[in-house]
Amino acid sequence: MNNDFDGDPFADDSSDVETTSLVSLADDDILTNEEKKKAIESWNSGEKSLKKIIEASVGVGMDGRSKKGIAVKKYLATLKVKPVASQDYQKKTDAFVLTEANKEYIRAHSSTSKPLELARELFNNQNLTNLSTESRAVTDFYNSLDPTLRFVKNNDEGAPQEYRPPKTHAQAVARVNRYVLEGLDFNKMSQKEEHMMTALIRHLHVHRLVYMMNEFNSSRDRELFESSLIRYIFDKPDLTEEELDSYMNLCADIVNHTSMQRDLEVLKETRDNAIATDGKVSMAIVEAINNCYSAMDSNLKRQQKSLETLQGKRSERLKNKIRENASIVQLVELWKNETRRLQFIQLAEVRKEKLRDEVKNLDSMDELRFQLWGMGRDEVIDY
Amino acid sequence: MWDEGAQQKIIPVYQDYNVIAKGLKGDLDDKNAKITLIQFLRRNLGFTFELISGMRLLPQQEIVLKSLFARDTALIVAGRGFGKSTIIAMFCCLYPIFYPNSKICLISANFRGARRIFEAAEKMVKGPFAYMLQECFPTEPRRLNDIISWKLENGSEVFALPLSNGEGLRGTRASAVFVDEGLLISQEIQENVIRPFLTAKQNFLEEAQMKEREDELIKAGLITETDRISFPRNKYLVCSSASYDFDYLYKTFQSNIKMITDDKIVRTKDDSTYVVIRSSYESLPKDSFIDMTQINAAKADGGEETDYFKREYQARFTVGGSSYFNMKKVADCTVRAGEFPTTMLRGRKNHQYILTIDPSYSSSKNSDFFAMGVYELVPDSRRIILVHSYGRAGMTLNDHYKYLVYLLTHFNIVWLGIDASGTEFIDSFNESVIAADKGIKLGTLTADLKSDEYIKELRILKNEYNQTTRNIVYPQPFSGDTIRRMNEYLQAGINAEKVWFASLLQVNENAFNNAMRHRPDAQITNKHGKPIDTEEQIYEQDSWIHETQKQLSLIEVKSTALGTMQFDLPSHIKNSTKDDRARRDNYTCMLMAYTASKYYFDMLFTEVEEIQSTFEPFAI
Repeated sequence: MNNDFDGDPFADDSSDVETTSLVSLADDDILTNEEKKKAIESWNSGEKSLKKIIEASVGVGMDGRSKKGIAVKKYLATLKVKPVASQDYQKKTDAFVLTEANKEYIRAHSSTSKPLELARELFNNQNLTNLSTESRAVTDFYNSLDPTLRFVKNNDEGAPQEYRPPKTHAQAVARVNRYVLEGLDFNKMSQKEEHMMTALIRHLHVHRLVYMMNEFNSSRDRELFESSLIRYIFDKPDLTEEELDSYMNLCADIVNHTSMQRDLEVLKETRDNAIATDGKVSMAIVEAINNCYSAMDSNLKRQQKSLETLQGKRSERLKNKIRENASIVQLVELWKNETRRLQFIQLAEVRKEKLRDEVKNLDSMDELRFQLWGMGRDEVIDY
Repeated sequence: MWDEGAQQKIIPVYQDYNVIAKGLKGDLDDKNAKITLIQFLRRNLGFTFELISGMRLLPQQEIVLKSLFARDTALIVAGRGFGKSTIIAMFCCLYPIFYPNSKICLISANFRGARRIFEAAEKMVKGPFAYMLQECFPTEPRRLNDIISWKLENGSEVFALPLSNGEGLRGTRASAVFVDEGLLISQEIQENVIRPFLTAKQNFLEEAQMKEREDELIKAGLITETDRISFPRNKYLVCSSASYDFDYLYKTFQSNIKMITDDKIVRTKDDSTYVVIRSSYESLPKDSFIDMTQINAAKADGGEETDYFKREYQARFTVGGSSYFNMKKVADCTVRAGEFPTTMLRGRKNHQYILTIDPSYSSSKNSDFFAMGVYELVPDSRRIILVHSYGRAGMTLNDHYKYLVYLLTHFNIVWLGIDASGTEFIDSFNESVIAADKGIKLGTLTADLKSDEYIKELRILKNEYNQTTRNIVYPQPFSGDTIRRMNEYLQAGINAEKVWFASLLQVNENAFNNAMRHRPDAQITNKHGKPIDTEEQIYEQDSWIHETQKQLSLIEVKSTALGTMQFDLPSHIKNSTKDDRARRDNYTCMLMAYTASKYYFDMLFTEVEEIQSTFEPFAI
C-alpha cells in the first residue's frame, strides 16, 4: 500500500477544492503552511514515527503533547495519515531469514556445536539468547537437518560415535578451523585453498583412516589423532598415498605417546604412594617406569624420524615437479600454443620498454657518468 | 653520452622480432616452434636470462650484454661494483647456448681471477631457479691444475686458463676471449699471447660449405648477396677498471674509439666491429645492487677529487704523474712479461737480496699488514728489484717467524732492514723455537747511519757487519726528517729507474716450470692461515707486484701544522675499517729497502781511509 500523500495542499490555485477545505478545517490550526509542508515531506520520506515527524516539522524538542505537536497530529489525521505514536506496540522484527551462506555454515558446524553456539558464532554476537530471532532461525534450520549431522554431546570416557569425515568444503574448513588457529576463512577461500580442502576431504575419507578413527575407544584420543593429522596435512594437497599412511602412523604415535604419558603419571603416583606408605618401592614399579620412559623416548625418536623423512621426500618431489614444469621441452610446448606465446611476447615487451627508457636515460646522461661508442640506439633494443 | 659512430653503415638493420613473433598465427608445429622460440629468446636476452636462470638483469646490464653479443671487439671500462665479472659470467652462460661449437676462453690477471669468473657462471647455472640453464649445462665442469672447462652438449665450451707467455698455450683456440682486469695484463701478453687464440674460425668447414652452396644459389638467381647467412666472428672482449693514461688500456680505449668514430676509415661488411663502454658507478640506479656506503665513505673528506676515486669508482683515466711517485716511471720500471727477473719463490744463485720488515702485531684482520719485501740487488747499476713480498694482517707471531725462516733459508739475504721501533721482533725471533731449530740467530748492527758523520758510521758498519754470523739486521729509524729523506730518495730512485718490479712469474713458462720443479721446502699459508700450494703462492706473489705499485700510487704528501711532511694514504682510504682496506706497509718496506741498498752499496764500494794518528817526536 502506498501511504504517500501525493496531493498539494499549498497550491495557489484557488479552484482546488480540497486545499480550500483543508485550510478551512483548521480554523484553530496554529500550523503554518511551511510546517505542514515539512510534516508531509517527512512522512513521504518514509518516517513513520510521530515524534520524528513533529520534530521535523515544528522543531526539535517538541512532541505529541505540545500544542504544535497536537496540531500536527490533527493535521495528519485530516490527511488520513496515521503515524506511529510511542505508545503503539511495535513488533521488533519479523522472522529472521537465513542466507545460503548461513545455512552452509550451520550444516558444516552442526556436528560440533549447539544451535545457540552456532548463532553466536555466525552472527558474532555473544548476547544472543535462545529466544533471539537469529537463534530461533538457526535452531529451526538445525532441527531440519539430518539427525546424524547434529551435535551430540560426547562423554569423554564413553565410546565415541562412528567417525564421520567432512563431505563439503564448509565442513572441511570447519574441521581445520577447529584445530588450526586462524586457519581458513570460508567466505574468502582462494582457489588454492579450495584445492586444499578437496584434497583434505579425499584424504579423510581413506578407509584406513576411518577404520583407525573408529578403533579409538576414547573420543579424546580420536580428537588428538584427528587434530594432529589435519594440522599436518590440510595444506598439503599433493600427498601421495604412502605419505598419507606415514602421516597416519605418525599421528598414531602421537596418540600413543600421550597414552604412555598418562600411564607414566599413574605409575609415578603409585610409586609416590608406595614411598609414603611403605617407605620403599617395588622393583616392578621402578622397571615399569623405566620401560615407560624408554618407550616414550623411542616413540619420540620415531616421530622425529618420520617427520624428517616425510618433509625430505615431499620437498624433493616438489622440487622435481618444478623441474619438470620448468624444462625446455615444456617451454617449447608452451610456445606452440598461441595464447601462451602471446603472453611470453607481452612479458618480453615489458622488458623491452624498460630497455628503451634506459637507452634514453643513458643517452642524456653526462659523459662523466656514462659513455658508449659503437652501438645503435635501436640496434641495442632489437638485436 | 651515446655515440653510434661511423661503423653503423656496415651494421645490418634488425627488425623487432617480437612483432614477427606476434604475427605467428595459431598453434605451431614442433619444428617451427623450436626455430621461432630460439629466435625470440636470442633477441630478448634479458628476458631469456631471467627465464632460464631466475636472475633479473638491470636494463643497463642488458645493454652491455647485447653489445658484447653484437660486436667483435669490446672494451668495457667500469667502476668498482658495476658488476663487470657478473656480466662476463652471464655472457659465459648465454653465448655458448645460442652459438653451438663456440669456445669461450676466460683470462684474468691471474688464474684465480679467471677461476672466480668461471665459478660465478657455475653458481648461476646451479642457482635455485636455473632449471633450464642446468639442462643446457648437464655435466659437471672439468677441473685441472692449469685449466677449468665446461662442455655443453651442443659442442660449445667455456674454459678458464692461467696466463702464460704463450709456450704452454700454443695451439689454444677460441671463438671468444674474455679478458677480465685488462689493465693488469700487459700489451705483449694481450697482443702476442691472447689475441692469437682467435686466429682460427671455429665453424670454418660449415661456413665454407654454406658459402659454396650460396654461390650456387646466387648463380642460379635464387638468392641475392644480401641473403647470405652471416656466421659469428671471433670476439675479443675486455673488461677492466680505468687505468693511468700511459697504460696500454688507455691506448686501446683511444684506438677502439677511433675505429668506431673515424668516418675516413673505409669499412666493409667483413671488418671487425667495435664497442666501447665507459660507465661510472653514478650511471647505475640508486636502488640497484651497488653498495653506496663504501662509495660515500670513499667520497668523504674530498676523496672524490683523488685520482684513486676517479679511476676506481668513476672509471676515469687519470694522468700518471699526479701522485707523489711517478707512476709512469713505476710502470716503465716493471720488467716486461716473459723477461727476467720474475717474482721468485727461491733466490737465484750468486745473487744477493735485501729483506725489509715492517712489523705489525695486531691480531685484528683490518689492522696494518705485517709486511716483508725481498729485493734482488744489482750492484753494478746500484739497482734493486722487488722479487718477493709478504703481507698478512691479524696472524700470529709464529706465522711470521715461519715465513721469516723461509725467506732466510731460500734467499741469500745480505741485509735485513726493520723499522727501529719494532726490533723486539728480531729479539723474540732469536729466542723462538723455530729459529733455534734452524740454528738461526740474527745480529743487530749498531751503526747510526743517519748521523752527520756518515763516513765514520760506515766504518763502524763495515767492522760489525758479518754475513756469516748473520749480523745483518739494521734497525731503520723513522723520524720526520728520515721519512722525508727516504721518500725523496725513493722518488729519485724511481725517476732514475733504480727501483724495479719483477715480471710476473706465471706468464714466464721457464720460470714457472722451474718454480714448480724446485718448490720451497716450507709450508706457506694464505691470509686465512690455511696451507697453499706452490701454484697459489706464485699467483699471490704476482699479485703483490700490482699491490705494491698500487700502494705507491696512493701515497700523498701532506704537511702537518708543525710543518712536518707526512707521506700517507688519503684520509678517506685510511679511515676504512674493512679487512681489505688499502694499506701502505709494502711501500714502507720498499722505502726501507732502497735506503738499505744505499747503505749496503756504500759499505761495499766506498773506500774509507783509516786515519793514522801517530806522534812525531821533535827537538825543542
